[in-house]
Amino acid sequence: MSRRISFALLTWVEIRKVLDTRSSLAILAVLTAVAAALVVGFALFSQRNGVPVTFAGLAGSIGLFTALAMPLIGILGMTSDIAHRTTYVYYPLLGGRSGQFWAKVTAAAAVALALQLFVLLLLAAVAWIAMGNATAPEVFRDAAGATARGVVSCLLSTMFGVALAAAIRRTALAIVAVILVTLVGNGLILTLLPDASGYLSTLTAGAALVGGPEAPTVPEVITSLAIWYALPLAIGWWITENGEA
Amino acid sequence: MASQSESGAGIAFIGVTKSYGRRVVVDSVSFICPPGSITGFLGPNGAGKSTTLRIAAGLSRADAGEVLFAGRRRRDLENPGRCIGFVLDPTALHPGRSVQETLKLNGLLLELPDARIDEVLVLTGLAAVRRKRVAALSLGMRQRLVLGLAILAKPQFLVMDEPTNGLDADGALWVRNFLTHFASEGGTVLLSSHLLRDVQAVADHIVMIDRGRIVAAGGVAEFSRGAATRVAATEPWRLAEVCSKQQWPFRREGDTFLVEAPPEEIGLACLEHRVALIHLANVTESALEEKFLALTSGEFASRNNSLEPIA
Repeated sequence: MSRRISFALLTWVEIRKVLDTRSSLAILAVLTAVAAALVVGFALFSQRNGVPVTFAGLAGSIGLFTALAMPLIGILGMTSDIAHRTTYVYYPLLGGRSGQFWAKVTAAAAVALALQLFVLLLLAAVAWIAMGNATAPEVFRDAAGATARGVVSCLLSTMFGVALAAAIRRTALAIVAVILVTLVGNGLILTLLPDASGYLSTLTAGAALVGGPEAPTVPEVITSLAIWYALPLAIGWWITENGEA
Repeated sequence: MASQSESGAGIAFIGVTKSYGRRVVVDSVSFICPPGSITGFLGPNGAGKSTTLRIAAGLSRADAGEVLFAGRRRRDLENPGRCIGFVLDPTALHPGRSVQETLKLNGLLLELPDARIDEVLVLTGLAAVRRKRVAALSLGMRQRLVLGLAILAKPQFLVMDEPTNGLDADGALWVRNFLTHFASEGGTVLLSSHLLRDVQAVADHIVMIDRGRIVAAGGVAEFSRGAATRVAATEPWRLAEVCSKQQWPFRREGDTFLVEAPPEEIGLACLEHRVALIHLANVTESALEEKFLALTSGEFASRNNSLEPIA
């Protein structure tokens, strides 16, 4: 009867905690609506300007949405218990805190991925409807690559929010930090430290997905991931494990 | 000092110490809560009660010492939530979650059937508000919900911080009856409160803490020793005769007598001597209160008291 709580069960409970309040459902609904509006709007804009509507093109149009919306899911998942002091309810149930911490990380990734997959399905549907005279192979050229890039960039964006929220531990501050770093910080780094921007920018890993001649080097990607993902996540884990609830 | 072997199947606090900066808030706290009993943990505000309980719950780390449940540390238990129920803070609940969902999440983690959640909803009087969000509940209702979470898995141990806080008279009585029944079934209860009445009504043992140190511990009877009964009779001089005959110390206070004897014995003796009583009341509570105030005032007011200070 009395066996340890499995990681799968912890993760399932954390997923449920992300979805079980009116406010969290409202946020997800708004994000979905914004994504749909962006996709449809971009498709209409492309058609009016005579640009062929392709799945890969539409997928590229929601890049900024992914960069800003997915961290929000990560932040809400990581800080909900801290914000409402429900750690008082859950920590006493658990032998240690690490399991729940990583379950939160996994749950945030799972919810964000589900939203991203829904958006990609929407993209496919819109691309299909807007196909016009083009053939399916033309519309869905590089669909697999675009899907893979969409999934990875979704995970990267979510983990960015997760990592900052884990270290900052305050919902509002983490949201402000994500927006400032993404929209202002990266620009400042590029302007003030152009030679080091590949190492310091949050967008380096995402840029590596696109590839091409401007693609960042492996050391740049590793450094960026270490600064913006691994380090805050490690700080957050240490605080969770050793701090006062 | 409590040792692991002494703790048996109960809860043992062994040399628990906690500081915040240079301030020692819990200082070498050691005591045992025997199984099948209720231990009252008394102390004024800021004495270190809540910090001690937070350490027991794993919310704070002790600088030294440990808390054992049936001889094992909480984090070493396979599934702590199934063995120990904690009532810590009724405001530490997600306001946007429904009552049922709050219980359901714990039920999922503890792998309990939905039927148990329904049972607890009925038991705690929350069935009618199961779909309400926590934000819409009164403090008393939230306290009931926290109690429901604590007893959800039918634990062996209950650690409670001011569990009747915010409850109406019915709710407080229900908690007291529940705890008494729980202990009679072999459960171990640690009941922290700054309200003497709450603790005295149900506790078998009392541990008093002040400024982070245990200042006294013992059975409720030990704390109540020397307690008096307030008595009034239609013929006060005859009551005085009875007290003298029985060699009970007494003193007159207005129309009443303060007699150092249990009310049952006074009642029987007066019946035997055909003395009509018009008032008979135990003043043990005030005696305990006097002791509580004396022990926690920084100086031991009663050095000759049979109750020896521990610290």
